[in-house]
Amino acid sequence: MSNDEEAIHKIIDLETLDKFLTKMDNSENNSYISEIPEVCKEYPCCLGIDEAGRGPVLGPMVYGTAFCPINEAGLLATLNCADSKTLNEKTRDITFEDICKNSDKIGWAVDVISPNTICNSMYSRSKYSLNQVSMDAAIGLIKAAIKAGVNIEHIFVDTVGPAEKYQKYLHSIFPKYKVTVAAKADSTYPIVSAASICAKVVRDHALDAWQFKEGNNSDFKAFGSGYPGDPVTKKFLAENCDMVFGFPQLVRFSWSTSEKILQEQAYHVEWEEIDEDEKATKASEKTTSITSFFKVTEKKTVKPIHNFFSQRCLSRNVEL
Amino acid sequence: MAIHIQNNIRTNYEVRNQLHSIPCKIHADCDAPVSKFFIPSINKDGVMKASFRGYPLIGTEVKIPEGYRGVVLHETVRPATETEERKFYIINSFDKFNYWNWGKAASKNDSLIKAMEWIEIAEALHTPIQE
Repeated sequence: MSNDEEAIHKIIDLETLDKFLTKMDNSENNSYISEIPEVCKEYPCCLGIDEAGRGPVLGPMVYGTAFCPINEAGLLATLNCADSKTLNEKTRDITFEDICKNSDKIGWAVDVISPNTICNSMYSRSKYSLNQVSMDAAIGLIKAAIKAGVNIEHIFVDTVGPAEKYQKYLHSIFPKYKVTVAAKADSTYPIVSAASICAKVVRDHALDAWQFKEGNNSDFKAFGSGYPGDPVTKKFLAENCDMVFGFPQLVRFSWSTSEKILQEQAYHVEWEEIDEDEKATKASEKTTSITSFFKVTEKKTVKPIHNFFSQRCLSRNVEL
Repeated sequence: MAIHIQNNIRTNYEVRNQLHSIPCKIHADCDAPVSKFFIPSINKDGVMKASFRGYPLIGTEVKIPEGYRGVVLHETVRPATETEERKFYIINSFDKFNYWNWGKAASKNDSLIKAMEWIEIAEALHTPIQE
Protein backbone atom coordinates (compact mmCIF):
# COMPACT_ATOMS: atom_id res chain seq x y z
CA MET A 1 0.00 0.00 0.00
CA SER A 2 1.39 3.42 -0.90
CA ASN A 3 1.69 6.22 1.64
CA ASP A 4 -1.04 8.22 -0.06
CA GLU A 5 -3.55 5.42 0.33
CA GLU A 6 -2.58 4.91 3.93
CA ALA A 7 -3.20 8.58 4.63
CA ILE A 8 -6.76 8.24 3.32
CA HIS A 9 -7.38 5.20 5.48
CA LYS A 10 -6.22 6.92 8.65
CA ILE A 11 -9.09 7.58 11.03
CA ILE A 12 -8.61 10.91 12.82
CA ASP A 13 -12.22 11.99 13.35
CA LEU A 14 -15.82 10.98 12.63
CA GLU A 15 -15.57 11.99 8.97
CA THR A 16 -12.59 9.74 8.28
CA LEU A 17 -14.27 7.00 10.29
CA ASP A 18 -17.33 7.18 8.03
CA LYS A 19 -15.09 7.08 4.96
CA PHE A 20 -13.39 3.95 6.28
CA LEU A 21 -16.72 2.28 7.05
CA THR A 22 -18.28 3.15 3.69
CA LYS A 23 -15.34 1.66 1.80
CA MET A 24 -15.05 -1.62 3.65
CA ASP A 25 -16.42 -4.94 2.40
CA ASN A 26 -19.51 -5.57 4.53
CA SER A 27 -19.46 -9.34 4.01
CA GLU A 28 -16.10 -9.70 5.68
CA ASN A 29 -14.54 -8.70 8.98
CA ASN A 30 -12.60 -5.47 9.02
CA SER A 31 -10.14 -4.23 11.56
CA TYR A 32 -8.39 -0.97 12.20
CA ILE A 33 -5.61 0.06 14.54
CA SER A 34 -4.65 3.67 15.18
CA GLU A 35 -1.09 4.86 15.12
CA ILE A 36 0.71 3.87 18.30
CA PRO A 37 1.70 6.89 20.42
CA GLU A 38 5.44 6.88 21.22
CA VAL A 39 4.66 7.01 24.96
CA CYS A 40 2.69 3.75 24.62
CA LYS A 41 5.79 2.01 23.32
CA GLU A 42 7.98 3.50 26.05
CA TYR A 43 5.92 3.36 29.24
CA PRO A 44 3.87 0.49 30.69
CA CYS A 45 0.28 0.72 29.49
CA CYS A 46 -3.16 -0.32 30.53
CA LEU A 47 -5.31 -1.78 27.76
CA GLY A 48 -9.09 -2.01 27.91
CA ILE A 49 -11.41 -4.19 25.82
CA ASP A 50 -15.16 -3.99 25.33
CA GLU A 51 -17.75 -4.97 22.74
CA ALA A 52 -20.75 -3.27 21.15
CA GLY A 53 -23.69 -4.71 19.24
CA ARG A 54 -23.75 -8.25 20.56
CA GLY A 55 -27.53 -8.45 20.96
CA PRO A 56 -28.97 -6.75 17.85
CA VAL A 57 -30.29 -8.75 14.91
CA LEU A 58 -28.82 -6.21 12.46
CA GLY A 59 -25.32 -5.04 11.64
CA PRO A 60 -21.85 -5.92 12.84
CA MET A 61 -20.61 -6.72 16.31
CA VAL A 62 -17.68 -4.46 17.11
CA TYR A 63 -14.82 -5.25 19.47
CA GLY A 64 -12.84 -2.24 20.62
CA THR A 65 -9.65 -1.66 22.52
CA ALA A 66 -8.05 1.51 23.91
CA PHE A 67 -4.66 1.82 25.51
CA CYS A 68 -2.54 4.50 27.17
CA PRO A 69 0.35 4.70 29.63
CA ILE A 70 -0.78 3.92 33.17
CA ASN A 71 0.63 7.22 34.45
CA GLU A 72 -1.53 9.09 31.91
CA ALA A 73 -4.73 7.34 32.96
CA GLY A 74 -5.95 10.51 34.67
CA LEU A 75 -6.47 11.99 31.20
CA LEU A 76 -9.29 9.53 30.55
CA ALA A 77 -11.49 11.03 33.26
CA THR A 78 -11.18 14.49 31.69
CA LEU A 79 -12.35 13.01 28.37
CA ASN A 80 -15.70 11.84 29.73
CA CYS A 81 -14.53 8.24 29.70
CA ALA A 82 -15.75 7.66 33.23
CA ASP A 83 -18.82 5.60 32.42
CA SER A 84 -19.76 5.05 28.81
CA LYS A 85 -23.21 3.71 29.69
CA THR A 86 -24.33 7.14 30.90
CA LEU A 87 -23.43 8.82 27.60
CA ASN A 88 -25.83 9.34 24.73
CA GLU A 89 -24.93 8.94 21.06
CA LYS A 90 -23.91 12.56 20.62
CA THR A 91 -21.63 12.73 23.66
CA ARG A 92 -20.10 9.42 22.64
CA ASP A 93 -19.29 10.90 19.22
CA ILE A 94 -17.66 13.90 20.90
CA THR A 95 -15.66 11.70 23.27
CA PHE A 96 -14.52 9.56 20.33
CA GLU A 97 -13.18 12.64 18.56
CA ASP A 98 -11.48 13.68 21.80
CA ILE A 99 -9.78 10.29 21.95
CA CYS A 100 -8.62 10.80 18.35
CA LYS A 101 -7.31 14.27 19.23
CA ASN A 102 -5.19 12.78 22.00
CA SER A 103 -3.42 10.47 19.57
CA ASP A 104 -0.10 11.37 21.21
CA LYS A 105 -1.19 9.52 24.36
CA ILE A 106 -4.12 7.23 23.60
CA GLY A 107 -4.21 4.54 20.94
CA TRP A 108 -7.19 2.43 19.93
CA ALA A 109 -8.25 -0.38 17.63
CA VAL A 110 -11.46 -2.05 16.51
CA ASP A 111 -12.49 -5.35 14.98
CA VAL A 112 -15.72 -5.08 13.01
CA ILE A 113 -17.25 -8.54 12.84
CA SER A 114 -19.74 -8.63 9.96
CA PRO A 115 -23.26 -10.00 10.45
CA ASN A 116 -22.43 -12.45 7.64
CA THR A 117 -19.45 -13.81 9.61
CA ILE A 118 -21.58 -14.07 12.74
CA CYS A 119 -24.29 -16.23 11.16
CA ASN A 120 -21.78 -18.21 9.08
CA SER A 121 -19.99 -19.07 12.33
CA MET A 122 -23.17 -19.98 14.18
CA TYR A 123 -24.38 -22.07 11.23
CA SER A 124 -21.01 -23.71 10.56
CA ARG A 125 -20.70 -27.49 10.50
CA SER A 126 -18.53 -27.55 13.58
CA LYS A 127 -20.27 -25.14 15.97
CA TYR A 128 -18.39 -21.89 16.48
CA SER A 129 -20.36 -20.08 19.15
CA LEU A 130 -20.79 -16.35 19.52
CA ASN A 131 -18.84 -16.53 22.81
CA GLN A 132 -15.89 -18.11 21.05
CA VAL A 133 -16.12 -15.55 18.23
CA SER A 134 -16.07 -12.81 20.89
CA MET A 135 -13.10 -14.23 22.79
CA ASP A 136 -11.13 -14.70 19.58
CA ALA A 137 -11.85 -11.08 18.64
CA ALA A 138 -10.56 -9.87 22.03
CA ILE A 139 -7.44 -12.03 21.71
CA GLY A 140 -6.92 -10.74 18.16
CA LEU A 141 -7.03 -7.14 19.37
CA ILE A 142 -4.48 -7.80 22.14
CA LYS A 143 -2.18 -9.56 19.67
CA ALA A 144 -2.51 -6.67 17.21
CA ALA A 145 -1.56 -4.19 19.95
CA ILE A 146 1.44 -6.31 20.97
CA LYS A 147 2.55 -6.60 17.36
CA ALA A 148 2.28 -2.83 16.90
CA GLY A 149 4.65 -2.36 19.82
CA VAL A 150 2.36 -1.38 22.70
CA ASN A 151 4.12 -1.88 26.04
CA ILE A 152 1.23 -3.65 27.79
CA GLU A 153 1.26 -4.15 31.52
CA HIS A 154 -2.35 -4.65 32.51
CA ILE A 155 -5.29 -5.86 30.40
CA PHE A 156 -8.86 -5.03 31.46
CA VAL A 157 -11.74 -6.85 29.76
CA ASP A 158 -15.48 -6.50 30.08
CA THR A 159 -17.22 -9.86 30.15
CA VAL A 160 -20.66 -11.20 29.42
CA GLY A 161 -20.15 -14.75 30.64
CA PRO A 162 -18.42 -16.00 33.80
CA ALA A 163 -15.48 -13.65 34.46
CA GLU A 164 -13.19 -16.01 36.37
CA LYS A 165 -13.01 -18.68 33.66
CA TYR A 166 -12.44 -16.08 30.95
CA GLN A 167 -9.70 -14.39 33.00
CA LYS A 168 -7.86 -17.70 33.44
CA TYR A 169 -8.18 -18.41 29.73
CA LEU A 170 -6.80 -15.01 28.73
CA HIS A 171 -4.00 -15.27 31.26
CA SER A 172 -2.98 -18.64 29.83
CA ILE A 173 -2.64 -17.01 26.40
CA PHE A 174 -0.92 -13.85 27.67
CA PRO A 175 1.05 -14.99 30.75
CA LYS A 176 3.32 -11.94 30.68
CA TYR A 177 0.57 -9.47 31.54
CA LYS A 178 -1.78 -8.80 34.40
CA VAL A 179 -5.32 -9.63 33.31
CA THR A 180 -8.52 -8.38 34.93
CA VAL A 181 -11.83 -9.63 33.57
CA ALA A 182 -14.94 -8.20 35.20
CA ALA A 183 -18.61 -7.70 34.54
CA LYS A 184 -19.54 -4.05 33.90
CA ALA A 185 -15.83 -3.23 33.61
CA ASP A 186 -16.74 -0.28 31.40
CA SER A 187 -18.17 1.61 34.35
CA THR A 188 -15.33 0.59 36.70
CA TYR A 189 -12.23 1.10 34.57
CA PRO A 190 -11.93 4.28 32.45
CA ILE A 191 -9.70 2.52 29.89
CA VAL A 192 -12.46 -0.06 29.28
CA SER A 193 -14.91 2.81 29.03
CA ALA A 194 -12.70 4.38 26.34
CA ALA A 195 -12.61 1.03 24.50
CA SER A 196 -16.38 0.78 24.87
CA ILE A 197 -16.86 4.23 23.35
CA CYS A 198 -14.66 3.34 20.36
CA ALA A 199 -16.60 0.11 19.82
CA LYS A 200 -20.02 1.70 20.23
CA VAL A 201 -19.28 4.69 17.99
CA VAL A 202 -17.88 2.43 15.27
CA ARG A 203 -20.90 0.11 15.56
CA ASP A 204 -23.40 3.02 15.30
CA HIS A 205 -21.59 4.58 12.37
CA ALA A 206 -21.13 1.23 10.61
CA LEU A 207 -24.90 0.82 10.70
CA ASP A 208 -25.43 4.36 9.34
CA ALA A 209 -22.82 3.89 6.61
CA TRP A 210 -24.03 0.41 5.60
CA GLN A 211 -23.79 -0.18 1.83
CA PHE A 212 -26.35 -2.76 0.74
CA LYS A 213 -25.04 -5.24 -1.82
CA GLU A 214 -28.58 -6.36 -2.62
CA GLY A 215 -29.58 -3.10 -4.30
CA ASN A 216 -29.30 0.64 -3.83
CA ASN A 217 -29.35 1.94 -0.28
CA SER A 218 -32.48 3.89 -1.19
CA ASP A 219 -34.31 0.59 -1.87
CA PHE A 220 -34.14 -0.17 1.81
CA LYS A 221 -36.16 1.86 4.23
CA ALA A 222 -35.29 2.66 7.82
CA PHE A 223 -34.14 -0.34 9.84
CA GLY A 224 -34.11 1.20 13.29
CA SER A 225 -31.70 0.35 16.09
CA GLY A 226 -31.33 -3.28 15.11
CA TYR A 227 -32.58 -4.55 18.45
CA PRO A 228 -35.09 -7.39 18.04
CA GLY A 229 -37.66 -5.50 20.14
CA ASP A 230 -37.53 -2.33 18.02
CA PRO A 231 -40.78 -2.13 15.97
CA VAL A 232 -38.94 -0.35 13.11
CA THR A 233 -36.41 -3.20 12.95
CA LYS A 234 -39.22 -5.77 13.06
CA LYS A 235 -41.00 -4.03 10.18
CA PHE A 236 -37.76 -3.86 8.19
CA LEU A 237 -37.23 -7.61 8.59
CA ALA A 238 -40.79 -8.46 7.56
CA GLU A 239 -40.66 -6.18 4.50
CA ASN A 240 -37.23 -7.23 3.27
CA CYS A 241 -37.55 -10.98 3.31
CA ASP A 242 -37.04 -12.59 -0.09
CA MET A 243 -38.97 -15.85 -0.51
CA VAL A 244 -35.86 -17.72 -1.65
CA PHE A 245 -32.85 -15.91 -0.24
CA GLY A 246 -34.26 -14.35 2.88
CA PHE A 247 -32.60 -11.17 4.09
CA PRO A 248 -29.86 -8.83 2.89
CA GLN A 249 -26.47 -9.38 4.52
CA LEU A 250 -27.13 -6.66 7.10
CA VAL A 251 -29.26 -9.21 8.93
CA ARG A 252 -28.02 -11.93 11.26
CA PHE A 253 -29.91 -14.97 9.96
CA SER A 254 -29.04 -17.01 13.04
CA TRP A 255 -31.04 -14.81 15.45
CA SER A 256 -34.33 -16.35 16.53
CA THR A 257 -36.15 -13.19 15.37
CA SER A 258 -34.88 -13.76 11.80
CA GLU A 259 -35.44 -17.49 11.92
CA LYS A 260 -39.04 -16.96 12.91
CA ILE A 261 -39.75 -14.55 10.05
CA LEU A 262 -38.06 -16.92 7.56
CA GLN A 263 -40.22 -19.74 8.82
CA GLU A 264 -43.37 -17.71 8.40
CA GLN A 265 -42.64 -15.89 5.15
CA ALA A 266 -40.01 -17.67 3.09
CA TYR A 267 -39.86 -21.02 1.32
CA HIS A 268 -38.84 -23.91 3.48
CA VAL A 269 -35.21 -24.91 3.00
CA GLU A 270 -33.94 -28.35 3.94
CA TRP A 271 -30.27 -28.84 4.77
CA GLU A 272 -28.28 -32.00 4.86
CA GLU A 273 -28.62 -33.71 8.23
CA ILE A 274 -25.65 -33.84 10.54
CA ASP A 275 -24.11 -37.29 10.11
CA GLU A 276 -25.14 -38.84 13.46
CA ASP A 277 -28.83 -38.06 13.01
CA GLU A 278 -28.69 -39.42 9.52
CA LYS A 279 -27.30 -42.74 10.65
CA ALA A 280 -29.98 -43.04 13.33
CA THR A 281 -32.87 -42.55 10.89
CA LYS A 282 -31.37 -44.91 8.36
CA ALA A 283 -31.00 -47.65 10.95
CA SER A 284 -34.63 -47.34 11.98
CA GLU A 285 -35.77 -47.62 8.38
CA LYS A 286 -33.88 -50.86 7.96
CA THR A 287 -35.34 -52.48 11.05
CA THR A 288 -38.53 -54.28 10.13
CA SER A 289 -41.37 -53.86 12.56
CA ILE A 290 -42.58 -56.91 14.46
CA THR A 291 -46.09 -56.67 13.03
CA SER A 292 -44.77 -56.99 9.50
CA PHE A 293 -44.50 -60.72 10.20
CA PHE A 294 -48.28 -61.00 10.02
CA LYS A 295 -48.67 -59.10 6.80
CA VAL A 296 -49.58 -61.23 3.86
CA THR A 297 -47.74 -59.45 1.14
CA GLU A 298 -45.89 -60.82 -1.76
CA LYS A 299 -42.21 -60.23 -1.37
CA LYS A 300 -40.86 -58.24 -4.19
CA THR A 301 -37.29 -59.05 -4.92
CA VAL A 302 -35.52 -56.01 -6.15
CA LYS A 303 -32.07 -56.57 -7.43
CA PRO A 304 -29.92 -54.20 -5.42
CA ILE A 305 -27.68 -51.89 -7.36
CA HIS A 306 -23.97 -51.94 -6.80
CA ASN A 307 -22.47 -49.61 -4.21
CA PHE A 308 -20.63 -47.78 -6.93
CA PHE A 309 -23.96 -46.44 -8.20
CA SER A 310 -25.74 -45.84 -4.91
CA GLN A 311 -22.80 -43.84 -3.55
CA ARG A 312 -23.05 -41.60 -6.57
CA CYS A 313 -26.82 -41.24 -6.40
CA LEU A 314 -27.00 -42.90 -9.79
CA SER A 315 -29.95 -45.13 -10.59
CA ARG A 316 -31.47 -46.69 -13.67
CA ASN A 317 -34.55 -44.83 -14.80
CA VAL A 318 -35.07 -46.18 -18.26
CA GLU A 319 -34.95 -49.78 -19.44
CA LEU A 320 -32.96 -49.99 -22.61
CA MET B 1 -42.63 -45.20 -19.63
CA ALA B 2 -40.81 -43.43 -22.39
CA ILE B 3 -39.05 -40.13 -21.96
CA HIS B 4 -38.67 -37.77 -24.89
CA ILE B 5 -36.15 -34.99 -24.84
CA GLN B 6 -36.54 -32.38 -27.50
CA ASN B 7 -33.79 -30.04 -28.47
CA ASN B 8 -35.17 -26.78 -29.69
CA ILE B 9 -32.23 -24.52 -28.99
CA ARG B 10 -29.24 -23.70 -31.11
CA THR B 11 -26.42 -26.14 -30.59
CA ASN B 12 -23.91 -23.44 -29.75
CA TYR B 13 -26.07 -21.80 -27.15
CA GLU B 14 -23.90 -19.92 -24.68
CA VAL B 15 -25.04 -19.56 -21.13
CA ARG B 16 -24.09 -16.18 -19.83
CA ASN B 17 -25.41 -16.65 -16.33
CA GLN B 18 -23.55 -18.57 -13.70
CA LEU B 19 -25.09 -21.81 -12.63
CA HIS B 20 -25.00 -22.87 -9.01
CA SER B 21 -25.71 -26.14 -7.26
CA ILE B 22 -26.30 -25.57 -3.54
CA PRO B 23 -26.36 -28.19 -0.78
CA CYS B 24 -29.95 -27.80 0.34
CA LYS B 25 -33.44 -28.31 -0.95
CA ILE B 26 -35.58 -25.22 -1.43
CA HIS B 27 -39.22 -26.24 -1.35
CA ALA B 28 -40.17 -24.08 -4.30
CA ASP B 29 -39.97 -24.04 -8.09
CA CYS B 30 -39.76 -20.46 -9.23
CA ASP B 31 -37.57 -17.66 -10.51
CA ALA B 32 -35.18 -16.19 -7.97
CA PRO B 33 -33.09 -13.00 -7.85
CA VAL B 34 -29.81 -14.96 -7.80
CA SER B 35 -27.39 -12.23 -8.87
CA LYS B 36 -28.89 -9.82 -6.37
CA PHE B 37 -28.51 -12.03 -3.32
CA PHE B 38 -26.00 -14.74 -4.14
CA ILE B 39 -22.67 -12.94 -4.20
CA PRO B 40 -19.71 -15.35 -4.40
CA SER B 41 -16.27 -14.05 -3.55
CA ILE B 42 -12.79 -15.49 -3.83
CA ASN B 43 -10.62 -14.94 -0.78
CA LYS B 44 -6.87 -14.44 -0.74
CA ASP B 45 -6.25 -18.19 -0.54
CA GLY B 46 -8.22 -18.68 -3.75
CA VAL B 47 -11.21 -20.28 -1.99
CA MET B 48 -14.61 -19.51 -3.49
CA LYS B 49 -17.05 -18.55 -0.75
CA ALA B 50 -20.69 -17.55 -0.54
CA SER B 51 -23.52 -17.52 1.92
CA PHE B 52 -27.09 -18.79 1.61
CA ARG B 53 -29.61 -18.02 4.35
CA GLY B 54 -26.68 -17.36 6.66
CA TYR B 55 -25.05 -20.74 5.99
CA PRO B 56 -21.39 -20.70 4.96
CA LEU B 57 -20.77 -22.26 1.54
CA ILE B 58 -17.52 -23.23 -0.16
CA GLY B 59 -17.61 -23.60 -3.93
CA THR B 60 -15.78 -25.48 -6.65
CA GLU B 61 -16.12 -25.01 -10.38
CA VAL B 62 -17.14 -28.26 -12.04
CA LYS B 63 -16.48 -28.54 -15.75
CA ILE B 64 -18.65 -30.84 -17.85
CA PRO B 65 -16.33 -33.43 -19.47
CA GLU B 66 -15.37 -32.87 -23.07
CA GLY B 67 -17.88 -34.24 -25.53
CA TYR B 68 -20.73 -33.66 -23.08
CA ARG B 69 -22.99 -30.77 -22.27
CA GLY B 70 -25.12 -30.00 -19.28
CA VAL B 71 -28.75 -29.26 -20.15
CA VAL B 72 -31.65 -27.69 -18.34
CA LEU B 73 -34.88 -29.55 -19.03
CA HIS B 74 -38.38 -28.24 -18.78
CA GLU B 75 -41.60 -30.20 -18.72
CA THR B 76 -44.67 -28.25 -19.76
CA VAL B 77 -47.30 -30.82 -18.85
CA ARG B 78 -46.76 -33.05 -15.86
CA PRO B 79 -48.06 -36.57 -16.41
CA ALA B 80 -50.95 -37.71 -14.23
CA THR B 81 -49.81 -41.31 -14.00
CA GLU B 82 -46.43 -42.92 -13.73
CA THR B 83 -46.82 -44.93 -16.93
CA GLU B 84 -47.48 -41.97 -19.19
CA GLU B 85 -44.96 -40.74 -21.67
CA ARG B 86 -43.04 -37.68 -20.62
CA LYS B 87 -41.86 -34.85 -22.81
CA PHE B 88 -39.00 -32.59 -21.84
CA TYR B 89 -37.62 -29.61 -23.68
CA ILE B 90 -34.04 -28.42 -23.46
CA ILE B 91 -34.33 -24.79 -22.47
CA ASN B 92 -30.69 -24.10 -21.66
CA SER B 93 -27.30 -25.71 -21.77
CA PHE B 94 -24.02 -25.22 -19.93
CA ASP B 95 -20.46 -26.51 -19.87
CA LYS B 96 -19.61 -25.70 -16.25
CA PHE B 97 -21.25 -24.88 -12.97
CA ASN B 98 -20.36 -23.97 -9.40
CA TYR B 99 -20.82 -26.79 -6.94
CA TRP B 100 -21.30 -25.53 -3.38
CA ASN B 101 -20.80 -27.44 -0.19
CA TRP B 102 -21.92 -26.45 3.29
CA GLY B 103 -18.80 -25.37 5.20
CA LYS B 104 -16.36 -27.67 3.44
CA ALA B 105 -14.66 -27.93 0.09
CA ALA B 106 -15.96 -30.35 -2.52
CA SER B 107 -14.15 -33.68 -2.46
CA LYS B 108 -14.35 -37.24 -3.73
CA ASN B 109 -16.77 -37.89 -0.87
CA ASP B 110 -19.43 -35.94 -2.73
CA SER B 111 -21.87 -37.98 -4.78
CA LEU B 112 -21.94 -35.45 -7.58
CA ILE B 113 -18.16 -35.24 -7.95
CA LYS B 114 -18.01 -39.05 -7.88
CA ALA B 115 -20.87 -39.38 -10.36
CA MET B 116 -18.78 -37.59 -12.98
CA GLU B 117 -16.39 -40.56 -12.86
CA TRP B 118 -19.11 -42.76 -14.29
CA ILE B 119 -18.89 -40.98 -17.60
CA GLU B 120 -15.36 -42.25 -18.19
CA ILE B 121 -16.12 -45.72 -16.86
CA ALA B 122 -19.29 -45.96 -18.97
CA GLU B 123 -17.27 -45.07 -22.03
CA ALA B 124 -14.70 -47.74 -21.26
CA LEU B 125 -17.43 -50.30 -20.69
CA HIS B 126 -19.66 -49.53 -23.64
CA THR B 127 -17.29 -48.48 -26.39
CA PRO B 128 -17.24 -51.31 -28.96
CA ILE B 129 -13.92 -53.11 -29.04
CA GLN B 130 -12.16 -52.57 -32.29
CA GLU B 131 -9.80 -55.17 -33.52
